Amino acid sequence: MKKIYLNLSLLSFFLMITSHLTFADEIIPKTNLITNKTREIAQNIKCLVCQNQSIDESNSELAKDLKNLIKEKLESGLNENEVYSFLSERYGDSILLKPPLNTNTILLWFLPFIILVFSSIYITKFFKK
Amino acid sequence: MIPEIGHIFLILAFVSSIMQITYWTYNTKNLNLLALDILKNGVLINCLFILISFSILTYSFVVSDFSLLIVSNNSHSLKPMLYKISGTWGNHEGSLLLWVLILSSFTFWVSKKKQINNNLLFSILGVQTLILCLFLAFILFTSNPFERVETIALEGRGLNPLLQDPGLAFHPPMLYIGYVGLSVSFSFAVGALITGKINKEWAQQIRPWISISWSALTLGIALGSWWAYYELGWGGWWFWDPVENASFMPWLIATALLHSIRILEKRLIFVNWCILLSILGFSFSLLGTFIVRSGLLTSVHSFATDPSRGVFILIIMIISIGGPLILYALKSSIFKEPKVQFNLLSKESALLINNLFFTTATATVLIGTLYPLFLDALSGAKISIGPAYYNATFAPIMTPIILLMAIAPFLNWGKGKSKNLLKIIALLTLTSLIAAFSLSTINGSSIFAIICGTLSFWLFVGVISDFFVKIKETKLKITKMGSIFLYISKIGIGMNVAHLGVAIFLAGITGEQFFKTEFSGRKNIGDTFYIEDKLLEFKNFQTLKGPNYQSEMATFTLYQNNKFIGYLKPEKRFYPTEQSQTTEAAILTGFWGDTYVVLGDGDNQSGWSIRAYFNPLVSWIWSGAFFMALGGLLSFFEHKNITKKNIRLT
Repeated sequence: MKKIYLNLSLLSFFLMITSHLTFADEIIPKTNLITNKTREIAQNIKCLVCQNQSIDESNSELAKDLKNLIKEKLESGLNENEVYSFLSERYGDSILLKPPLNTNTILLWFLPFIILVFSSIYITKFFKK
Repeated sequence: MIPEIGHIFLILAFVSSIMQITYWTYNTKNLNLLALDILKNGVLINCLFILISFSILTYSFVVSDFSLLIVSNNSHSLKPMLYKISGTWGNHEGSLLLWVLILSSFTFWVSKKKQINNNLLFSILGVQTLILCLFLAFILFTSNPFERVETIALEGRGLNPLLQDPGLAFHPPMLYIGYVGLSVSFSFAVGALITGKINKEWAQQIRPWISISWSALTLGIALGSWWAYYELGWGGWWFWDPVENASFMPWLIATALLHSIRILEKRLIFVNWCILLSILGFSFSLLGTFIVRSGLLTSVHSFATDPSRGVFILIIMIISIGGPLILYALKSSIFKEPKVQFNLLSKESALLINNLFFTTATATVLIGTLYPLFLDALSGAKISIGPAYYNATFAPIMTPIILLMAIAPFLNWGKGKSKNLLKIIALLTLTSLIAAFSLSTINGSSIFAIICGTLSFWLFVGVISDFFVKIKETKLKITKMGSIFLYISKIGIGMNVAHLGVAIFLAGITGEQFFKTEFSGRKNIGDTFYIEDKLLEFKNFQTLKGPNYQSEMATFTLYQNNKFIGYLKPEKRFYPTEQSQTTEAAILTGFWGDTYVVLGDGDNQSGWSIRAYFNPLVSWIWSGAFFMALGGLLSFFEHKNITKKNIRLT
């Protein structure tokens, strides 16, 4: 019985992986690509005149201008990271909703996982050897 | 005249609470029944006084008595009655009065519990009254709701239109019931530290209070998120906003506590840990209350503009968090725990791992919320933390919890071998792989969509199997309808319902986050557009007049497969009193998803800018939360049945 389960699981896992691969190969038109990328970036850019809202969600004038600016930059050939660094140079790091990893934010990014690791080690003492 | 009566009763409640605390301190050493009775009566008196005071404030809002500062700042005579009443707690002062009303009601409720040991009850009531006293002082000295104005305005300034909404009218009371309910488990913990005694009865008696506050907190948070979804008009439902995080942290701690108290109840281990969690839970509630009310996080400056308030807040926090923590450090060593070890595959270890992840998750949210403040204060660098941070930290921490959640109910206590475990894991793996495969075939699927959806399915199968295994194990025959309830309480269905809620919630997230479709563009009357297979036709545009606002409303007809489905009427409202505008999204809710239309700026020449979404399964998010709350409520009643010893079921 167990063997059948195992075989079936392996089979469906295989199917899952292959079906996923075929999707990745689909060709998306280039204009669509830029629109999607703009949205993706816009979701991580803070609307400076709103309260804790990204420019993707905001309808304010500033947000609209920024979205157009991102689109222009992408069309002129900049990649995602270059757009982010352009924006943070112009408006400061606080415009990025996803803080970049640097000396200021190293604790922010790693502390949760450090806590997790240390407390995991701590609780192993309760388990029967 | 009438507001002064309210004011006097508030002062009386303050004085009476001071007297009780003095009396309590004198009598802690040699407790007698008389002292306990006196304290119980005092608790009742506080509750009545505050109720009178609160009713009078509500009355002032209902009759629009603009001689009161907060009424004239937050109300308007033309406002609908519901919002006049909810306006009572739609401001800093009034919401604090609601807070103490709930606190004193909870205290009164606890004082009626006969099964709690007298020494413990005496300490609990004392601690509760102490918190009440601190809050009453805060209200009277820094945030008095009964403050009069010198020149009475003819009309009030109105309530922020965003808050004039049924969802938000009930969101604060629910949230406060959750926050304040955690004060009871806090007092239980401090009471245990004072009396130095802890036993299984203690754990049994504290648990219903945690369940009820957890349920209220769940509902309160869900109401807030639902409100954000339909009122803010950009289709999101959770923004990782500091104010949201403030209510989410006590929820996470309460969830951890709800699980760890089970180990304590069963095995009498992790006593100190449960006490610490109880203290932390309420500490986060206090932090939450003050974060929202002081504006500490949305703007550091509004906090500093009123130094007296800020200092007072710090004093209250130091006394009510620092005090118990010092007490904990001094006295927690008196609780001798049996040295218990257990299998890695046991209920104890599952619940322990649950606690590990939930506390780490709380720490993550806390770091994300406070880090920008500390960084700004220490180095002057400014950063913003948005959903991307939590997606990268919080989400991976929560994933193992979901995996564990489906399996944990099948594990045994202690060192016993768990039956069925392999079979269950095989069943879960197999069905989840099928689910993952089907998810991957959906158009627009991504790896995260597959993970999230599969987790939901994994949990769903786990919960359902557990339910049937339990039913099989009890070998009960239901003969009478009335016994169904007892039967259900016997198998502990509360947990199943709550976990089912989590599965539904996750399914909702999968749909909303990964399979949303959007249309955005400029359309004029007569135009049509598609979102997925749905056709929307811009039918007409009209201007209307509401009770206290003017509205511009567009009507869209929704067709699917050439069949008429319904009308969508998004609005833009202008509130002249408050000089502000709100967008009212039109939402057609369905089982499989919501069609959501927002009206933007425009005119009949160039058309209006329209945003439309189809949000698959989005209503499952709140239905899931509702099931979680229901589960908590069921386990609250379950407990009641267990304590009645005369239950026989065979």
